[in-house]
Amino acid sequence: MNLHSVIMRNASTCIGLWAFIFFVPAPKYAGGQNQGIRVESSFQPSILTLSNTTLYKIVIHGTQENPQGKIPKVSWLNLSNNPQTFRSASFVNGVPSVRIELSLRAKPNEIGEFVFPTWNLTIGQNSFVVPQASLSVLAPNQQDLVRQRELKNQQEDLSQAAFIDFSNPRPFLYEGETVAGEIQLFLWDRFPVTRIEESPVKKGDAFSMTEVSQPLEQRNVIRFNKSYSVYSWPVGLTAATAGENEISFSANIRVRSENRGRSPFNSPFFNDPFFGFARDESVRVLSEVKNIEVRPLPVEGRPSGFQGAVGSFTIRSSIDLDRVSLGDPVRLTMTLSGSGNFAAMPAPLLKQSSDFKIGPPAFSFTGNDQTKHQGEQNFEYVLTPLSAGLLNTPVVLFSYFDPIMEKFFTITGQSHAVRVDPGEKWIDATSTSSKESAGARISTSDLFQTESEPGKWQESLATYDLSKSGMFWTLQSIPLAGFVFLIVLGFQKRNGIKTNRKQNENILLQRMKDSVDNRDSVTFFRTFRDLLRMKIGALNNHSNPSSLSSSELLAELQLKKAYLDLVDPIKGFLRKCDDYEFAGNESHSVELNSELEEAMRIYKKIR
Amino acid sequence: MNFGGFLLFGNLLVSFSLVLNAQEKDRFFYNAVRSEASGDLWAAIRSYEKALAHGHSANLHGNLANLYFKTENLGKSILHYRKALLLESANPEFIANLSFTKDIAGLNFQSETNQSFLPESNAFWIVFMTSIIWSGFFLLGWLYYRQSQIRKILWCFFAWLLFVAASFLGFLKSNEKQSLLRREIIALSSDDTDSNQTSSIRLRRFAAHTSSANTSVKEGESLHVTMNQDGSPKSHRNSKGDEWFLVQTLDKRKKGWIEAKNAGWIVGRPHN
Repeated sequence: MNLHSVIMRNASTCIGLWAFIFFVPAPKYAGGQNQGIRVESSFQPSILTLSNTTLYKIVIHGTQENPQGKIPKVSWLNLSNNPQTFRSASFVNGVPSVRIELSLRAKPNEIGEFVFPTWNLTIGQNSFVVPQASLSVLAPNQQDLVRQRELKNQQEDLSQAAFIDFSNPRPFLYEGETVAGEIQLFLWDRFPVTRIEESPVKKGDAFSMTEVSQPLEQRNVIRFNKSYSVYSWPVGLTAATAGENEISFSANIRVRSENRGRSPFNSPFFNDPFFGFARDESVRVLSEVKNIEVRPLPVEGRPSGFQGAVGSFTIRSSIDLDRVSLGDPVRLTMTLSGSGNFAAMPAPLLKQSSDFKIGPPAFSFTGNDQTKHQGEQNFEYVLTPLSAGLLNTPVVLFSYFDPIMEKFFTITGQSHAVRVDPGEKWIDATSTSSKESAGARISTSDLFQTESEPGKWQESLATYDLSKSGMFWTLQSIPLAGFVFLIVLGFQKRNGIKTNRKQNENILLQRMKDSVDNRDSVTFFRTFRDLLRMKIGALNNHSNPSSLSSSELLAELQLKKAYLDLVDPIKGFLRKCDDYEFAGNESHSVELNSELEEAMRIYKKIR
Repeated sequence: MNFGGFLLFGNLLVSFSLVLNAQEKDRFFYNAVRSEASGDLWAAIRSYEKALAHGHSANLHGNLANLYFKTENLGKSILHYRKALLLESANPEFIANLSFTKDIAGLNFQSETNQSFLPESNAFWIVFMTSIIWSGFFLLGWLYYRQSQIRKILWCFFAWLLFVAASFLGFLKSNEKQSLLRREIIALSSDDTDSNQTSSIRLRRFAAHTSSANTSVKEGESLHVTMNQDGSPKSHRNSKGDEWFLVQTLDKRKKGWIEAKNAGWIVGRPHN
């Protein structure tokens, strides 16, 4: 075998157009490394029409090493990014020969004669020049034109096979304005759609949309010269934020597509997506992104009672009863009709009235439930008359912004006259006799009053048993502690006074004994009088016993019958005291020892 | 999640459920008012009963009693007036309506108990009694501290004992009434009873339908359930699952077994 070639086809390598660097893993083949390296370049074919493609080939003889380099960019040619590499090794006349071949797909942009310029590539440490290559581009022929037209048609067909269209009736919206729009899903009849997997979903936070329900279906709608089935969802679109806002929609459909692998039967019937071996695929259908201008509501002329209603409305009101008994509820129904943002509209506030108690309103909407844009919104209030007489229901003022007229309007609801009777007089049932026959029917009309407010709610009917409350008994410890404190304080006080008095008495007794020893009669009698004051004062709880005179001491003592026998001896002692105190009778000597004995006898008798 | 976070989350969850519960009962109440205003009394009753599952209010029971009166269910009407009066004992409308309904039901022979020691006044009597006791203790303590005469202290002590005895009597009376209220039921006619016929509820010798009636009471009449030692009602459950209570009238002249469906608890069935 004189020719043995090894051709290895490597995987394409991703490269940048300008930074063209080869990173192809090359097997080491040393056979041709010693030969001289030669580089060739050419276009194959070198003559072509504008719509065709050619190959730009670089052949490097004498090596299989990876070349590195940058391919220059020319305006008249688009080169692919994925070069294909071929390596070959052979023996030519017994001499080993190796080469590496790089091919890039090229598509010309212009007609004319062109020369691809020289450029350098590096192999190992050496740099080599890639020579020029010439290309002749001719004008497209008739066949090219037909092919181009078919390709364009195919692309258009694909984008027109399924698409979403959204119709907005207004060129711009006001903030809070609701418009009735329609989302339409166009499905080409030749497009093998099996079902709509997901209804259209809005993309764009600046708008809110009502829920989409079952679509309306329309067949044989012609658009782009094609026949479509159209599915429509009417929606109410409300602008939430002012500004230039984007909105788009997307939906998912299931499409039957031909199997990538052929069916085993290899028959057109079995390969048909409808009848043959096909599979379901989910396809996402998108709408165009629309820019909708949302203008802010004007501040000028905005009424104080404006609550965000945008649209065009009329108001009417009605009551269910025009004559009631006091306390019976009357239903006042306010009806707003027209078109506008019913879904975002709060209830109009009724002017507070002293004649009626106004309950919270109930809402109900009749009209197009899908868009909630056109119809009637009812607000039902329960009014309870608070006094008897001919009363007028409160008037409602409703302000809205008309986006067509671009002005604020305020409309007024009608006031209704209600005659409120005082109601039946109650007769104290305990004083009346109940002699009704058992079979008599009970008259139940307007006898009882119904409250329209629940009042204070409670969890349970069971009365609270305070005696089982731990907190209550714990709180009793507070007065108990106060009481104990008071008793202890009183005890200490009593005990303190008694001790103090006893100590004082002992001091006085000692002083009396000392005066006897010293023969000091004046001190003796004065001290004994102080002792008597203390003892007699304590008997009657006198607040200041030291202030008692002799006569007062005797009077205090006479109050106590038990001590009547002591009055005379004490009287004698007190007289002696006064004599020594005021007369200064120093010469009159007394036997103090016997006086002390008598004094101690009196002292011990007073308890 | 740490303990604090768990606690916060729990609190938020409880608060959220409380708010929801509050909105729910208001919603049922207003629905009932609207239904009644539109003349649909049965829908109004259903809405009120749903609201009752979430809470009680005097107006709710009063309105429900009115509706039962209008639908000629006098037993339930009396029951709900009693419940309304538990929550607002001084409401003149409830008092007058109850008296009128009892009159219609032929129950005026049931003299109303005197209003001086009402069950709901039990808390007042406890507080009053403890206030008297502690006031007396403080007075005596103060006199002792001031070292008043023993005769003065004794007079105060006996006067105090009189007040304590009086308040203790009030406490015992209200406690007794509270205990009676806990076991009080209203005799109700069965739902299947024809409202046109005068309904009387039988008190049977034994807890069974087959048993002969000992006596009978009128619909709406107050009865007291006999209690066990442990504070639970004396009851019997038969093989069908029907529960019976042993009851007696307020004057204790009639006694017998009544089926649970004919008994409307005023406060709620006590549990031991």
